[in-house]
Amino acid sequence: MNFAIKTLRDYVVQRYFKDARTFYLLVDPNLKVVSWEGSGQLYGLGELHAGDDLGDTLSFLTGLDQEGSPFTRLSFVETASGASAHVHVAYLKSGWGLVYMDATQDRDDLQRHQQKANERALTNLRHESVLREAQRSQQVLQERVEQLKQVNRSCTGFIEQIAFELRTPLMSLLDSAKQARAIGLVACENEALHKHLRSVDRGSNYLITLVDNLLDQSRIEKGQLYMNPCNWHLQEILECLDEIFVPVVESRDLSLSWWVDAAVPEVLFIDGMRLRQVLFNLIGNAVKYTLDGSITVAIEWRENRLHIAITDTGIGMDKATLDRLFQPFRQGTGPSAGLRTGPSAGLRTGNGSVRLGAGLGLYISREIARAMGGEIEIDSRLSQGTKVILAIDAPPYQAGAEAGATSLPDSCILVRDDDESVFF
Amino acid sequence: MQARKICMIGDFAVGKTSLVQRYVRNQFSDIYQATIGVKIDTKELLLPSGDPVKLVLWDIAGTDELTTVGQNYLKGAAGYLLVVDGTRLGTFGTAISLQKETERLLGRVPFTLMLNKLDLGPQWELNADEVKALQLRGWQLTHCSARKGNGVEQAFQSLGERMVLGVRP
Ligand SMILES: Nc1nc2c(ncn2[C@@H]2O[C@H](COP(=O)(O)OP(=O)(O)OP(=O)(O)O)[C@@H](O)[C@H]2O)c(=O)[nH]1
Ligand SMILES: [Mg+2]
Repeated sequence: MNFAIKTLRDYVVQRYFKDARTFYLLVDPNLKVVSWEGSGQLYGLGELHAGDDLGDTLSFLTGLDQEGSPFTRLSFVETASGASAHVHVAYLKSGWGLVYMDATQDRDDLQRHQQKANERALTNLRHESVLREAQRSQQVLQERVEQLKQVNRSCTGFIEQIAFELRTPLMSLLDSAKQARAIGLVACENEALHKHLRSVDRGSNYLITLVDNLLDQSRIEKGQLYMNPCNWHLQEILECLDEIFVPVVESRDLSLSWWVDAAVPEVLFIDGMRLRQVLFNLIGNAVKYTLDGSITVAIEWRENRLHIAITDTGIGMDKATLDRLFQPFRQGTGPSAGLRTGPSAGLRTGNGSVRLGAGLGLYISREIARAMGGEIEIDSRLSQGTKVILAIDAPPYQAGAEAGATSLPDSCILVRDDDESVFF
Repeated sequence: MQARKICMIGDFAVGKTSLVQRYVRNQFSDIYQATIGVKIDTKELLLPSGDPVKLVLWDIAGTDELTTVGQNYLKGAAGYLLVVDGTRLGTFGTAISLQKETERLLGRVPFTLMLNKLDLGPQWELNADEVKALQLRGWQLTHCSARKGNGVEQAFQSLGERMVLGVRP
C-alpha cells in the first residue's frame, strides 16, 4: 500500500474509529460468542468469553435473518448499558457479524434538540386547541345572542301590536272627554264632575304617551326611527313648550327662562315635532326634579347645529345614577337608586311610595337626538343641579322644502314623558 | 423459545414508550422524554396453548413518515402496534399514513391500532365515525391508557397470539 495512504488510513482509524469506540463481535447462529475485537464495555458487552450466550442481549436480531439483504444498519440503538450505538449487522452463513459504533454523544445532543422541538409543537397544539375551544364558545354565545335577539324581536313585535291596539280606544276616550266638556258641561256647576273629567283627560293623556313611547322604542329597536325634517319656526316650538310648562312652574317657587342667541336662524330645517318631544322630555325632567330655584333654557346656533343647554338648580344626581340614566326600562326602585334616576325611574313622593313610568323618556330622547345627527350630554352633581346639553344638526331654511305644521296638536299629548308625576 | 419482533409506530409523544413501559414493567411516568432512535425491550407471553413466546419490542422514535433509517427498524417485524394520541386528531391521520407505508414494507402482517390516553376523555378529539370506518375495514383497534393501564396488556397479548397463530392480520 502506498505509504501516504496507509498513514492516512491509520490516522482516520486512530482519530475516528477510536473515538467511535468501535467494537466488533462475531456470534454463531445460536448467538453464542465466537470472537470479538475492541472493548464492548460501553455497550454492556464487557468480560466476554467464547461460547457466552448473548441470546438476551442480541434479541434485536430477531427476524433479521429473514431479510433479503444480509446487511442492516441500525442507527441510535439504545444498548443495555444505556449508551447509544449505530449497529451494523451482517447476517452470515456462519452466524452474525456486528459492528458497534458509539453514538451516545450524538444521541444526547439530538435528544435535547428533538425534546425542545417536540415540546414546542405540543405547546402550539395546546394553544391551538384552546383557541379552537374559545372560538367554539364564541360561536355558541353568538348563536345564543341571535336566539335572544329573535326573542326580543318577537317581544317588540308583540308590544308594538298591543300598543297599536290600545292607542285607538285611548284616543277616543280622550276625545269623548273633550266632547263632553264641549257639550255644555262648561255651564255645569258640579265641580266634582269637572274633576272627574280632568282626571279622565290626564289619565288618557298619560296612557297615550306611554303607548307612543313604546311604539318609539320598538321603532328604535327595529332601526326604523326616521326623522322628517321640514322648515320650522323655532319660536313656535319654544312658545308651545312655554305654554305647557308655565302653569306648573308658577304653582311652585320656580322660574323658567329662555335665552335665544341672536345668531339662531328664525327658520330651521329640522323635525320640529321630534325636537319638541325631546325638549319637552328634558325640560319636564328639570321641572320634575327642581322644587324651587330656576330652570334656564339657552339656545345657540353654530356651524349648522343647534346647541340647547337646560340648566336647573334641582336635586341633581350622583355618578352611579348618571351612568344608568339612558338605559331603557330602568326603574329606580332600589335603595341605591339615588334621588334622581331620570324619567326612567321613580320619583319619591311625600308618603315614600314610588311612581314609575316605563322608563323610556330619556332613552328615546337620546335616540332621537342621535337620529338628528346629535347627542345628549348630561352633567350633574348631587344637590347642585343638572345641566343637559342637546346638540343636533339644524341647517337653516331650505328653499323648496315643506313647512312644518304651524298648528301644534293638543298641548302635550305626543310629547309627554311616560312618568306622569310631572303633572299629576 | 420462539421470538417475534413487534414495532411501536406512531407520531411523537403519542405514548409508545409509555405503553411498552406499562406492559413490560407495569410503570408509568408523566415526564415526557423524546425517544431517539430505538430502544429494545423483551417480554415473555404465554399463548393459550401454554407455550411461551418472547416478544421483542422495538420502541421507535416518533415520526410522521418512514425515513430510510426508520425503514431499517421495521425489518423483520412480525407485527406492529400503531399508536394514536386520542387527544390529538393529527396523530390519527399520521397513523393511517404510517400504516400504508409499513404495509408496503412488511406486507400484510398483523397490527393493532391503539387509541391511547383514554384517561383524558374530555379532551378526546377523534371522530367516532372515522374510527368505526376503520373497524369496518377489518382493522383491529383498542382504546387504552398507558397511564391507567387499561387495554394495554390485552393489546400486546392479542397481537402476540395473532402473530404466532397466524390468524388474519
Ligand atoms: N394522560 C396520559 N398521558 C400519557 C399516556 N401515555 C403517555 N402519556 C404521556 O404522553 C407523553 C408522551 O409519552 P411517550 O410514551 O414518551 O410518547 P412516545 O410516543 O414514546 O413519544 P416519542 O418517543 O417522542 O415518539 C408523556 O408525557 C407521557 O406521560 C396516557 O395513556 N395518558
Ligand atoms: Mg418514546
